[in-house]
Amino acid sequence: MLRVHNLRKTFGSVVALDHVSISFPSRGCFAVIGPNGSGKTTLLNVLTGFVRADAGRCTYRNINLNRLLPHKIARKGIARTFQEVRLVRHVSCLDNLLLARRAELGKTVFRAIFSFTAENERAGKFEASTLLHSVGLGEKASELAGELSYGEQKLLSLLCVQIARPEVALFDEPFSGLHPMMIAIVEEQLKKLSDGGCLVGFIEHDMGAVSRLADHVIVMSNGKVLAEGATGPTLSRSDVLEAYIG
Amino acid sequence: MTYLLHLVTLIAIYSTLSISLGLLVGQAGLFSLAQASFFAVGAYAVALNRADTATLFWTTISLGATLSALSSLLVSLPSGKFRGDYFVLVTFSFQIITFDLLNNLSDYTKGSLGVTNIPPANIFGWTISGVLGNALISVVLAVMAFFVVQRLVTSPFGRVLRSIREDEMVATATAHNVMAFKICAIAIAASLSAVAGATYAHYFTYVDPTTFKISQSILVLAMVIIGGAESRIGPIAGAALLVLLPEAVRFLGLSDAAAGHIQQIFYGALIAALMILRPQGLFGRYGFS
Repeated sequence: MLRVHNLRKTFGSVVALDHVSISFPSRGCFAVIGPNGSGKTTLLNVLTGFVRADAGRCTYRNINLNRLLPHKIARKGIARTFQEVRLVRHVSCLDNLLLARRAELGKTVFRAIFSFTAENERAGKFEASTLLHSVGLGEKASELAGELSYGEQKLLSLLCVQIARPEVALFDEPFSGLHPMMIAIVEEQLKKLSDGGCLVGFIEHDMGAVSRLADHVIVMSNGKVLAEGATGPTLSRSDVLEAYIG
Repeated sequence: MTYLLHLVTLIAIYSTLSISLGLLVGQAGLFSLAQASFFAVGAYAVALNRADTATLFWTTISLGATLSALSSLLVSLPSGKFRGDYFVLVTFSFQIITFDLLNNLSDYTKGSLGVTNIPPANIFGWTISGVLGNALISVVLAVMAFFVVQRLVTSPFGRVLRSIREDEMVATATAHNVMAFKICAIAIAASLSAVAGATYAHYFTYVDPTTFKISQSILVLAMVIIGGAESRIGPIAGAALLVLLPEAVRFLGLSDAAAGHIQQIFYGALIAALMILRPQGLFGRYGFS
């Protein structure tokens, strides 16, 4: 399914990814952990086409992702969030969701202008507001995304991935800076995505969330994969503990 | 009455221009200083199309709009690499080059002498030579431009443009080809500006390069910003205000020389006051930072 082979990426003299090869699980939930600067975000950026690898290959369903532009990778069903919250801040929460909705996904210019019907818009708004209600943001549907609290914005960016109904969903630190109550909601949503058959991957420092959610963990250190495997045994390995805790 | 109809025609022509630029600035966040160039393409397409004076208005207007859309590729294709202020510089260069071409390709454009005796518009055999007919046709075209842009703004296309305005990475991550949307928005705005140009040429029956200088592009941008780029009626309100304000100075009984300066002072003071008091424009909600 999703594989990276011998991936290398440098930023000047910094080696962010050093011959990384990973076969990701085909379903379920995996976490990528590692100290700051270990190459986790670069790996996510390369997988989604936002950063070009210097060498190596990323493949999904035997399609070479290295040759695709980021929007084309997204069209293959690989959705993502960013470490810093990225939303269209001056439009409503509802419109943010409609932009990311599967029916809109990768809409060509022609279709975006001409195949636009009132029923389609109604169906989209219904789907989006149902999703917002399911996480308690129903009342804020028409509020500007930029006016939500940080936690709510993070949750909204997660919903944007959910409404795209991806095959692979990658999240960059979905729990960072969140209140424990919001962490529980985010966890529930990630679990829902994973239970629906989507491969969920997330970068995280919160080991509690990693242990509760992920059934597979990839540990990175200095641009290399230090360890990989089932969450429990991998997290208790001495080299992993050393790399993480020091 | 003739004077009032003349003002209506001017407001309608400038509204078409500002509505087209409103799509770029207000929706896609693309600040263009080349709108007068596309205005010129439309006007010169009418002025130089002398093959048959009875050529239908719709034919020449479509020709101008198509040529304008094609020429807009020169601005839109580099927009993938040049964003923000750099995009403004690309449009600025395009504007300067267009003006120089109109001025210097005298064999084709008659250079600084301009093109005279442009025939009036001919719509289905009806020759529109009077001020009333021109006011009507320019208002009809401005209304059409308004509805075309409104349709785009309320469609998924508009939604994608707004996401491009704020964060291209969001648009990309949601699987939209940002470049294609930009190219299309710039081409549509160029075509609508060319329609305004065609109406202008038919109405004034004379065009010369000075009408299409950078100052004209800045004027249209000021209309959009003052009215409120993202709002529906903002660009129209901005056009009406900046067409009527200089006209109002006429009635102050000043000498011609003083009137020109007073107009400039009014214009500058208005923009400065708005930037301080209402950076989002008179009717806008979205403020550019």
